[in-house]
Parts: sequence; structure tokens; C-alpha cells
Amino acid sequence: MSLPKHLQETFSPEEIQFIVENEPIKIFPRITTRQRVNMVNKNASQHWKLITTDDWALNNMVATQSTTVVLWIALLLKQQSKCSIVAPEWLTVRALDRHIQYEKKNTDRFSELPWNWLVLARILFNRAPEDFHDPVHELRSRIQDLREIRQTKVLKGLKYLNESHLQLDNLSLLEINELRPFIVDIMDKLREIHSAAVVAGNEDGNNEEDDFDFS
Amino acid sequence: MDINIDDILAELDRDTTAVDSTGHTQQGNQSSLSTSDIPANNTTIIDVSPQQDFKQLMVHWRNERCSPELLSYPAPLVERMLSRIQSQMETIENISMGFLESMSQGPSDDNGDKLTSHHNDSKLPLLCMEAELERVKFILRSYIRCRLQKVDKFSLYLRQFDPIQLDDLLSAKEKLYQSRHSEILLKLLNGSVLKFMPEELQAIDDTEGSVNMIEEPDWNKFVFIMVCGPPDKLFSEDPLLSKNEYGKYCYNVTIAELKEDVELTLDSIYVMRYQVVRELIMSGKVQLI
Repeated sequence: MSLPKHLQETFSPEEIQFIVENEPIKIFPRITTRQRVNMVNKNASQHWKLITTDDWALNNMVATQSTTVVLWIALLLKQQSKCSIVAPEWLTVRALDRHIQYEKKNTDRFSELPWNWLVLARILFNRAPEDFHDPVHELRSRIQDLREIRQTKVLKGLKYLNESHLQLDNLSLLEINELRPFIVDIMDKLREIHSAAVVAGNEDGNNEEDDFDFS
Repeated sequence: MDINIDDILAELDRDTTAVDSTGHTQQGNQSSLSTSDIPANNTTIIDVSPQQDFKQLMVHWRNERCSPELLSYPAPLVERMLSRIQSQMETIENISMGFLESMSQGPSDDNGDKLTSHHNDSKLPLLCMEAELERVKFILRSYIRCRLQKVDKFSLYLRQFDPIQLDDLLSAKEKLYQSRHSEILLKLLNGSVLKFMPEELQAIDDTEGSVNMIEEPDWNKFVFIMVCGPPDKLFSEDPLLSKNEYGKYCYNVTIAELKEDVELTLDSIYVMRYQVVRELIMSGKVQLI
């Protein structure tokens, strides 16, 4: 088929990263692209002309003045050591510790991490490890902790798979993506069994427990 | 005494943004070109910025990848994207030609040291523009391939539609692909197997027999959804939205088969049957993830 089998039901991790790379992030440029008013712009190629994101920020970079650009451009600039990336507020030891506390205290829900936390953390640890204020190995271990805590919660939640619906607030995109084939398939089968029973007239009026909140 | 002046401040804010947006429309002359058939009042032009279009395309792509059925084809959007890709390719070409020129004639009118630093800088935008182009093309390619895969799968099902519905559903090229591809497939099946069958068993789209041969989309397939609310963010004007006991906005949907009502609160993630949220997806109030 025109779309490979493994992509038909879900996204590949690379595609998830692609989606995340379209998010804005703060950087400190190390180059200046803003044209001085009195200087006539001789070379048109010095202008950024982009078709998917706002190019105003890129045409007005001043070295060491923070600005916001799309993540993939930030990574490209970083590769050329033309900027340093500012880690988001939740990616500090203190904030992560707070999240870990929250996760431990509330066993029935996930903490409010951004939907791209796992992917963004991985990208920044690999591509911009020297831009963090906190030591990277500590951040890494905390991300790992969070990941494990949430995974155990997911495993607990899988007990409640049913034929009606689930609510999964604050589950991140990557976590959803790795669960998707499993959850969807199981729930589809449960639904088929259920509706087959209804069709066969076997419904004995037992009401399913509704609204499983395994968030 | 507290006087709430939020609405007055909002009024003032709106004024400044109005100035901003007119500036934008003058910049984005390309977008106003593509919508020239629509009566050009300000609001429509602001909606069609390249940034917005790309966001829309991402949403369409993600919905298409996750949904069990073939969604309708956003023809104007794809056309705008394609024309932008075309013009961007030409721009890149032009700029790189400029490079060659200034390289060959450069040293004569400038000192060498300044020139090299100058050139390093100016290659960066070009690099980004090329990378961006690749990214847009990837999305479009992946989107169209995903649709073609569904066209393959639902080939017999799509044949039942009348041409007007198909116009909305498929692009011209997809329609061509669909008709030609099913023709070829039929020829193969007819020639190799079906011609040896008794008359009444020769139909490829038999719905009377023990198994329905037309594969329909699985309408009740479970999908992951994100409740976004109305695209224009005017929560109070959406008739479907209501407030629950916690004061949060939510949509009320009913799963017919189970006779069960579900509240879809804003900004939450659910695993839900596709049929139940189909209308909300079509209107962009819910996204598939």
C-alpha cells in the first residue's frame, strides 16, 4: 500500500519528534540579523523568508537578547553554534522535583507536564546539553523517575480498559503513541464482544460501571 | 470599591491589534492574492496567513492519520500550500544564483576578511529555507500517501457515492487514481478467478451473500481525541458547549449503543468511539491525536 503497514494506525517516534519540533522555544542568539535603519540592505539573501512560521523574529535577532523561534530552527542554529537554547521552566531540577512529588502524592492522576515533555527533554539533552543551568545528569535521572512513575500508573490504568471510553488527562503525546495500538485494539475487541452480545439479545440489563477515570 | 475594567482594557487592546493586523496584510500580499476570488474584507485575509495554513495542514494530517474514514479534502488549503512551495523554491533558486554572482565578482570591491564573515552569515537563511521546504513537502507527501492508502482500502465503498459527494471527498487526482486503480484490480480479478465462477457469484461488490464484500470504515473504532473547543475561542457562542458542576466547559455526547452520556471537558484527552465525536471533529472542535 502507499502507506507502510507500521504507520497505518499510529505515528512513528520520528514523526512525533517532527510534530514537537514545530513548537516555539526561547533562544539566545549569538548573531545579529537586525538591520540597522540607516544601513541599506544590499544583499537580499540575508533576509529570512519562511512559509510556515513567522520570520519576523528571525530577521530581528540581536545577539544575547532572548527571542522565540520554532524548535527546529533553534536546533539548526544550535548545530552551527549560532545560538544557545533556553530550557523551558519545567525543565529544572526544582520544577521536576515538584512534579515527582505531585505524581507520588496523587496516585490517581498524572501531573500537568506539557504534552511534549518526554520528546523535548530528549532532544535538548542530546543537542544542547551545555545550555542547562542544572547539571544534565540530574535532570536526566529525574526525567527517568517521572517516566517510570507514570508508566506504573499507566499499567494500573490498563485494568480499566472498557467498551465505552477512557479519560487520560495530561498523558503526553509520546506516551499516548506507544500505548495507542494496544489500547485501541483491546478496546475495539471489547466493543465487538459487547455489541455482539447486544445483538444476540443477551442483554440482561447489567449496567457497566461508567466513567473510568484513570487519569 | 472595585471596578472591573477588563472589558474596557480589552477594547483598547483590540484597537492596537487592528493596527498590527493591517500591517500583516500588507506584508502577506501572497495570501491576499490566493483569496482574490473571495470578497476581500480584512477578516478573511488575516485568517489565511502562511502560519495558520501550516497549522491547519498539520491538523488535517494528524486527523487523517488517526481517523478510520477518509476525511474530506481541503482543496483550497492544499492549493495555497502548493503555490507557496512553488514560489519558495523559485526564491531559493534566485538567492543561490545571487550567491554565485557575488562570489565571482566579490573580491574586487570588498576586502577579503569582511567578505568571508559576511558570506557565512548569509548562508544560514538559505539553509533554513531549504530545511523548511523539505519539512513542508514531507507533511504534504505523508498526508497524500495516507489518503491514497485509504482510497485503496475503501475502493468499493467509494464507488457507491455519487459524483457530487466524491468531489467534496477526493481531489481530482485522487479520483483519477481511484477509478483507474479499481479498473486494473477488477481486470486482474476477472481474468484470473471470477470468469470461472457461476454467473451469480461473479459480482465483486456483493452485499447479499453471507459476507458483505464492501468494506466500510469501522465507524465505532476507538480513537484518541483532544478536546480543543471552538476554533475561534469564543466559548460563550458555541451552542454545544455547556458548563459542568466544576465550572469547566464541556461537550455532552451520547454513546447510543450503551445509552451512556459522557462529558468531554475542554483540554482533556479521551479514548472515544469515532462515530460519537465525528461531528465535533468535522467542525474542528476536537482533534485526533
